Parts: sequence; C-alpha cells; structure tokens
Amino acid sequence: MQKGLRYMVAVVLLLGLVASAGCSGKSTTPADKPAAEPAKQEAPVPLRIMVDWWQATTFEEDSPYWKELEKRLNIDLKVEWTPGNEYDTKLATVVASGQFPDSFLVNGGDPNLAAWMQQGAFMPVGDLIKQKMPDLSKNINDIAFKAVTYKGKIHGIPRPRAVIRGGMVVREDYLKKVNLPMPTTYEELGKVLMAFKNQKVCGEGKKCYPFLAGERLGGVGLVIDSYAGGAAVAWREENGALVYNGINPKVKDALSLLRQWYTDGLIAKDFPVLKGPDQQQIVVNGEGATWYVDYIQTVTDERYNMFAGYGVGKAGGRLVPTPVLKTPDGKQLIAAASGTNGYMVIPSTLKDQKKIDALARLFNYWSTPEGYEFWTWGIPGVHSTKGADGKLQLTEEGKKMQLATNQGSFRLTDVAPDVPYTNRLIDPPDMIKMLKGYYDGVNPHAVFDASLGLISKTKQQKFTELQNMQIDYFTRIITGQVDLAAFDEFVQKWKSQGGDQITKEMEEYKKTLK
Amino acid sequence: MAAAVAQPPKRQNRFRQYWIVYAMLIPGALYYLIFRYGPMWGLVIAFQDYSPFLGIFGSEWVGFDNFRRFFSEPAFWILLRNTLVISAYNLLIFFPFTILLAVLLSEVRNEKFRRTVQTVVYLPHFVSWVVVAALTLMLFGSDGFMNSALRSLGADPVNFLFNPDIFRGMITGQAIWKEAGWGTIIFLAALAGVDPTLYEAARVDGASRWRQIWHVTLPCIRSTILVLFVLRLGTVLDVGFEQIYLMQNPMVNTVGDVFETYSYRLGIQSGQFSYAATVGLFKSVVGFLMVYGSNLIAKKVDGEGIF
Amino acid sequence: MARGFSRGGMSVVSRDRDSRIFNLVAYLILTAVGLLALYPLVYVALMSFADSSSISNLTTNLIPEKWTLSNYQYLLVSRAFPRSFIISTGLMVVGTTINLALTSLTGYALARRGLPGQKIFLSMVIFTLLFNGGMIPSFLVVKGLGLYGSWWALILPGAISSFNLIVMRNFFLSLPLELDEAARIDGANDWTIFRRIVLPLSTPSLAAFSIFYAVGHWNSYFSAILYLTDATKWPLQVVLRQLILMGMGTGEANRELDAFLTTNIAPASIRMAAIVVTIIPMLIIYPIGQRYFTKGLTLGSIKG
Repeated sequence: MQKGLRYMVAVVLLLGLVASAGCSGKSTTPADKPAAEPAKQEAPVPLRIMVDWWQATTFEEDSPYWKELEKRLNIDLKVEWTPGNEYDTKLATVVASGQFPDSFLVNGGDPNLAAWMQQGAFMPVGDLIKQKMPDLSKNINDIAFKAVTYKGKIHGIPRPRAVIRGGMVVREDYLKKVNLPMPTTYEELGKVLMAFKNQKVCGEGKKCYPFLAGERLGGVGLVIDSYAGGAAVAWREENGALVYNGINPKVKDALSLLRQWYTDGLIAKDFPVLKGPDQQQIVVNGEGATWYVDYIQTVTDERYNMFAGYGVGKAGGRLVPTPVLKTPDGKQLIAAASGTNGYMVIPSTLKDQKKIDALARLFNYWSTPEGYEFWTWGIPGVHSTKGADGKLQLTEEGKKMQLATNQGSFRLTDVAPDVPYTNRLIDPPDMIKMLKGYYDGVNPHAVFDASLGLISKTKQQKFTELQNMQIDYFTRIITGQVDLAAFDEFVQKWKSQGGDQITKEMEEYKKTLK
Repeated sequence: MAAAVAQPPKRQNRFRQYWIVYAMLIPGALYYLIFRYGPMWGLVIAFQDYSPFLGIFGSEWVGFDNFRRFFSEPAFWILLRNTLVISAYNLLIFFPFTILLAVLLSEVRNEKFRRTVQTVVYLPHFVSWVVVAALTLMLFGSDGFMNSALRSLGADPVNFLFNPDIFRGMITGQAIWKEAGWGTIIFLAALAGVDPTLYEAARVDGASRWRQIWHVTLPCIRSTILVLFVLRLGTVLDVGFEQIYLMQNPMVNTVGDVFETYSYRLGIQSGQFSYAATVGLFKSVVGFLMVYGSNLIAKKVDGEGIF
Repeated sequence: MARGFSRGGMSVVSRDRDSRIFNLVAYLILTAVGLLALYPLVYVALMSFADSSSISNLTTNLIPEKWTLSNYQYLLVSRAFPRSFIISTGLMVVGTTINLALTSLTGYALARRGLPGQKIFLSMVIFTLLFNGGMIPSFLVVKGLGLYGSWWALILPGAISSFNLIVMRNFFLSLPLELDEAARIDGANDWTIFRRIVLPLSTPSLAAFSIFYAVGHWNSYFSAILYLTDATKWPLQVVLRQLILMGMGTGEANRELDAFLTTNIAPASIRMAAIVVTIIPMLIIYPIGQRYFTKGLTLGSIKG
C-alpha cells in the first residue's frame, strides 16, 4: 500500500543520508597521504578557505590537478565554495558564529567590511603582502588598499582587477551604415543616435533602440558621470574639500540632454525596467545599436565573445568600444572602479604562523611564472599536450580544468593583471594588444572616488537609500515624469536627509588620517 | 467504561488518560523548543546596534532608538499605505477568486477536464518570479504585445509598467496568475470532505446549482475559509518580497515600495541587521494583533474562532 | 447544515436547465482560466527549445524558427545536475515524510479535546507563526547542534510549518465527534483512533500538505546555501541558479564559457529550460495528490 511503500523508501534514504553524514569526506590528517609520496620535511599544512563561486561544479578535491597543487605548495586545501549571489549574507552568518575559516573573501561592496575592520576582525597583512607575496603585489594598484586600510594598517589582500573595465560600445556595422565616424563627444553621439533612428539601422520593420539603456540608470549613468565630474554616486576632491558628484549642477545639463534623447525616441522607452538579460537579448536580436557593458572583453574578443555565435561579433556585426566621450565644456572622464573584486582576509584569531605562511604561498602562487603556467596549462600530459607545431594545446580534460581555473575565485587573489582579463600564455597576441589599447586609452581619464576608505557611520545607515532616491529622481526626470526642476528638489533632500552629514563625517575621518 | 467517563476526572486520572497524546506531542514540542524558541532571543537584535562580529553580547544596546528612527521616517506612512493597499487587494480579490476557482473545479463532473485544468492552473506556481517579470515586460512593455495590439487598432500606446495607478492591479493580476491555482489546493482538500448527500437534500428541496453552492458548499468549508483568512491577516504586512522587488521601478515606487523591500534595502543590503529586525518585529506585532483581534471578532460573531 | 428550502423552489425542468447553464458557465470560466494559465507556460516550454537567434516576443512568433536541444544539453551535461536532482528528490521524500509525521501527530494532540495545557501550547505555536528569531540566531542553533554542513540542516529546522499545523488541526477538529466517542466506547485509545480513524479520514488534507511540504523541499534554495559547505551537496535549485548565472556570461565569469556554450544558447532560454526541468517532477506529484481531492471520498466511513 502506498503509505507503506513510502515509509520504506524513506527509511532507506534515511539510512543513506545518515551513512553519508557519518563518513566525513576527506580526512585532513597528513597520515592519510599515500606512503609513496617523497618524504617532506614537514607535513602538509591544512587550510580551510571560503570564497564565492559562480559555476555549478567546483573542483573535485581528489582530482589530479588539486592533488598536484597541494603537493607543490605543501598544503591540504579545503575550500568552501559559496554561491556568489548570496555570499554576503552567508558570510554574515559565518562571522556571527565566531568560527572562521583560515581565510575568506569579503566583497568590496559588503556593507559590513568597514565595521568588521574597525572591530578588529581581520589581521593586518601589509607586511605579509610585501614580504611573502612579491609576485602578486607587483601590480596591485595602490587604490586597491584604500578600503581595507585602517589606522595605517592594511587588513585585506586585494583581488586585483582593472580599474576601468567596461565602457560604451557601438555596432560597427550600423555606424558604417549611417556613414558617420566614431563619436568623440556627446554632441556627436547624439547625432549618431539620431541617424541610427532615422535610417532604421536595425532593419526595416524591426524594433530599434539607438541607445540601449538599462535599469538603475545603466548606460545613461555613463553620461551623467561625465558631467558630474566622476561617478554620480561618488565624491571628488575640490580645493581640499569633499564634494558629492551627484549634486553637481552640471548634472542638470546631462539630465536635460538625456531627457531630450528620450523624448526623441533615442533611448529605449522601457529602460528603467530592462534587466541585464533583457538587454542582452535585445543586443543579440540586433535591436540595440549602442550599449554599455561592464566588462569590455565581453564583446571585444571573438573567442570569448558571448555573442560570437549570434551573428554579432562576427566581422561586421561587431560591437566596438567608443572612446571616452567629451562633454560640451571639454571634460573627458570615466568613473573608475575600486581596482579590486573583494579582499581575502585572515581572521585576527588565526595565530598559527605555518598556516599564515601557507596562505601567503597559495595567494602568491598564481602570479609566479610557475603558477601562471599551472593554471593555464595544468599538468603536462594530462591537461595539455604539445601539438604538431610544437605549441601547447589543451586536452579535453584540460579544457574542463581551465573552465574552473579561469575563475578569479579559484585563483583566490587572482594574478596581478598585466593586461586585465587576458592570459599572456594562451590568448592571441593581437587580442591582447587590442585590449591593451583600450585600457591604455581609457585609463588616463579615470576618475577615482575620493571617499574610498573614508569611514562614516551615517554612510552605512543611509547611503543605500540616498542612492536609490537619486536613481529614482534621475530616472523620472529622464523619462519626463517630472520636470527638470525636480533636480533642485533632489539636491535639497539629499543634503538634508543625510548627505551633508555623511560628507562631514568623512571629512572628519580624513583629518584623523593625517 | 461509560461509568468511568461519567465521573469528574481527577488530575491524576486526567494525565493518565492523556499520556498517549502527550507522547504524540513530544516530537513536535521538542521541535518547537529547539528550532523555533531556541533562536527566539534574536528578537533582541531589534533593540541593539547589532554586529555579527561582536555578537549579541558584544553589541551595543540602544533600546527603542531603532523604532524611533523607523517611525519617524517620512517613508514610514507611505510604506504602510502601500503595504496595506496591496494586502487589501490580496484579501479582497485574490482570496475570494481562489475559493471560487476551487468551488468551480469541484463542481465539474468531467474527471478528465477537472484534473487537466487543476494541474494546468497549479503549474504557474513553479515559474519563478524572475520569469514572470520578464513575461510581464513582454506583454505590457512599451513595445510589448498589448501595445502592439493597441497600435494596430489605432489606439494610443499605454505605459502599463510605469503607471502608478495600474501597478497594484498588475501586481494582483500577476499573483492571481501565478498563485491562484496553488491556492486552490487547500480548498479542494476541504471540499473533498463535504457530504454529497447534503446536495441531494438541497436538490430535492428545489435549490438551483448556485444556491446549492451558497447554502451547502460554502458553509461546509467555512471553517477552512475562516482559518485561512485569519492566518492571512497575520501576514498582512508581509506582501510578497520577490515579486514586488522585481516589478519596482522609479516611476511606481510611490505606490510600490513596501516594508519587505524597504527592510531588504536598509537591512540586508546595508548590513544593518538591527534595523531589519526592527521592521520585522513591527510587522510581527501588527500581524499578531490582527490574528488575535480577528479571532476574537470571529468568536463574538460566530461563537467560535479558530483557536 | 442544510437549511430548509421553501417548497416554492424550482421545478424539475427549470432545475435541469439551470444546472446546464451553470455547467456551461463553469466550463467556460475554467477553460478561460486554464488557457490563460497555459499560454505563458507553453511559451516557456517552447522558448526552452529555441535557438538563441530565434528568441522572440510572445508577440511575433510563438514557435521558434530554429530549434535546439542545447539549452537542455547545457543543463544536463553538467556533472552537478543529475547529482543535485537526486539530492533534491531524496530531500523531498525524507523531508516530506518527517513533515507529515510531525505535523499530523502534533495536530492531533492540538485537536484532542480536553487536553490539559493545550491552550498554552497552541498559543506558543501561534506565536511562532509571526515571530521568529531571524536568520542569524537560527543559524547559530543549527551550528550548535552540529548540523552545519549536513542535509539534516535543510530538513529539521523546517520540520513543522506553524501555518500548516494550525490548518491541519482545523481539519482534525472538523471530523465528527461521534466517531471519536464511538471508538472510545469500544475501548480504543488515542493512538488507535489516530491511526485507524483520523488519518484515513484526513487523506485529502494530508495529500494537500504533502504537496506543500514536498514542493517546499524541491524549491529549497536559500537554506541550502546557508547551511551547506560542500558544493557536491548542492540541491537542484542551487545548481540551476548557478547554471543560469554562468550562462548569462556578462560578468567576470565570461571567460569561463566553453566554445560549446557561446554558440547558440541565450540566457533567457536557459532559464526556461531550468523551469521546465523543475516542473516535470511536479507534474508527477500533483496528479498523485489530486486523487485524494475527490468529493465524498472519505465520508462513507461515517455511515459505516
């Protein structure tokens, strides 16, 4: 009878679960290492690390690759891979439990980063980086340390990234169709967009969005930033004082321009509700002519181009980056990111020097020549072989390996990027050259957030809401739901509802740094 | 046996009488003790400036400061209004619709038809809200299905997604599509317990189908309807987070921002656990009052509440 | 319960006609509702087979121009997928069994008239309906019990839903008292009554709650992320979400896409395929439960 069957199955599964819970995976005692291993002076150091992960499968800890890694570094490595989307929340619970892994990631945007740092949760690692992670530290931009510096000490190891990684891109073939050169100013861009619309570049009868913007001011934010003097949600320094970019009167000009474009039908009408995948699909359908991407290599490289198979990306349908566009009064800038994708921290409760050294070894490894080769080519013979032309190639096994090792999370602190997001051993030289050209072109115009590393209590409490209010106001102004004059209303509210307080607190904190 | 029952039971006898029931209660009691009341001290977080690193004992005590801040926010009344209105739509539109649907389903004679429709209407429950939002965009966006149809009919396009007046209706409509079928399940279970002979009696008395439903079906599932209604009142401030979060946009935030989304932004996203706990506690207290209050009313009006 | 009707009710003829009109209306409404529910689902299913070049709106063409199985291949080829599917199935079966057992036992105790202390316990249950300690304290309890990292952390903390418990109690209360009394006179104790009378008579509600609990386990996502440390233990929804994110490819993770992946998979259709994959087991569960929703199924026993 059904119920009886169900109970039986349940019991069987129960036993199975109990059994599997009983067997605790890998043992971490060195005694389990096979006796055939060459004798080491010391036993492998057990390490436990928690990082974010964005794929469905992780590295099996009994794979040859992993074992080789452990052997080379003399560690016994266990990683808690946590789905990246919920990382911050899970981290908060782990921290609350008081039982920390030996090292873990803290996202740059984690709202608790400053507070935990001030409360002494993280060990100072400045010396550790300088002395024991030489290869990694070579290319870490100084700015990356700002958010984890407190009382003169550095409390986290940055996962270094490009300072500028995205930008505006435009359909090369559409540009050709309207016979206009690549725009260099916003005025020229406006002309290009108008031409796109009037000449129906996407095709007769097809939907066309000359400027594909997205939710939370995606895309149009770039324009606003240029006028604002930096990221609209960041501060700049003017005559020694901190000034918030979002309340810059020049922003009104940007909003006015965007309003005009919106009314002229140059900006996607539904942009406030277009999410990432929606925008992607529009681009794939060929309906988007200008777009903003977070990572420029998404569209620049044929091989990694996510649009490669869609006809976009092949010759003709390519998206090419625009230069940093100039505002009418000659300003040419692009907001820079923090230069990191989070920080690996070591809890201050960790006292075992062996473990600390092992962590340093591990984090530095990928930047060393040997480590660089290892994450690219894996174990010779298993993951890569020499082809007929004498050049190295990945095997099937190797391809799978690279799928995982390519993730910054796997390489923990990641390699010091020479040309960001490229691999000098495996990527085609002309692709590297092109990307380098792009970064060289935009980096001189990078503008940094002057508030990086300045701690303010009110900021943690109120800034999210202020940002949302800003997005709300700007969006409604652009879509025409409210007048341009609403901008002044916004400035008033921003100042009185915490903005001025935040600026003040940050100024005071800054003084303590001197 | 009958004689023993007639005596007023002594205390000792009562426990003896009920020992089996107590034994049955033990697993559940343990569960509640450990997993529900074990963490209950967490309510205290609302009165602190909680930091996960410092823990409960290390975090500063701030008394009612968080509540003061919450109630003095200009947004508070807007949130209250939005949340209550959307809840009202839910209780007054969604809830009765679910009952109606369940009743209609149970009235249909054709087994195959009934099973098919039942299954079909319950499937949207498994479509994630993300996809529902994307589908809504496709249907109601500026270049979507509805507007294309309007255009081809010569009418002006309507901006469905940006119109604050339509927002609540849109939310309710979405919820009905996705969850009404799911909501019928409990009512179908209740309807299965209705004695068919009662219908016979009603038919003999000359009642039409509608009257049968009104006088037989509904009264029989009355206690189920009541208990579900009261319980729903308890979650009146808990309007569905994910759905609203996905549908929010600057144009409709004046009507679309609710407590849950507010708490998410200021609580989780800003790392302010205490503030999120404050909002949560507020909602819990209100819900609790609603549940107890409506139960009392039900007792007065009907003679018995749900507890 | 059936009130008296005035003898001046409808004649037989008009009653039949009324019945037919009612049926017509009912069928019409249900068909309309069914179609409305169905249309987007069909879209989801069709789009899950669409080559990325033919993702279209509901507006233009419903049928994709180019079909492909690569969306499903992408999901199924991943080692994690079949593993997580089995895990979720196991969690669902074991979890639902525990849920039903505990909820019905406790529900019976709470419905047992005259039980001393019942009101107190009931109040405590209702309290938990609305008040809970929060994510971090719950996490600490689970960790304190040594369940962190184990699948039991996904099953035990949610073993009873207060909402379901109260509704279940309500169902039990609506069972006729005469049965109870008759059985006791015959010498039955509570356990026997529970097993032989209450449970068999409650199959519709038990079926309903099984569905609720089962689907809850099937969809479990956040608690899996919170309480599991080993990625090989991830249940289905976590794996699906990761696969979808991977397929979006606009993040830093872009380089990870295999050549196979970049060709004809659109992020939207991966989502659709994921939904179809999630729904299929539910399509099996519901009809099983549905059988218990037939009217009057249980009432025969009262007469007997």
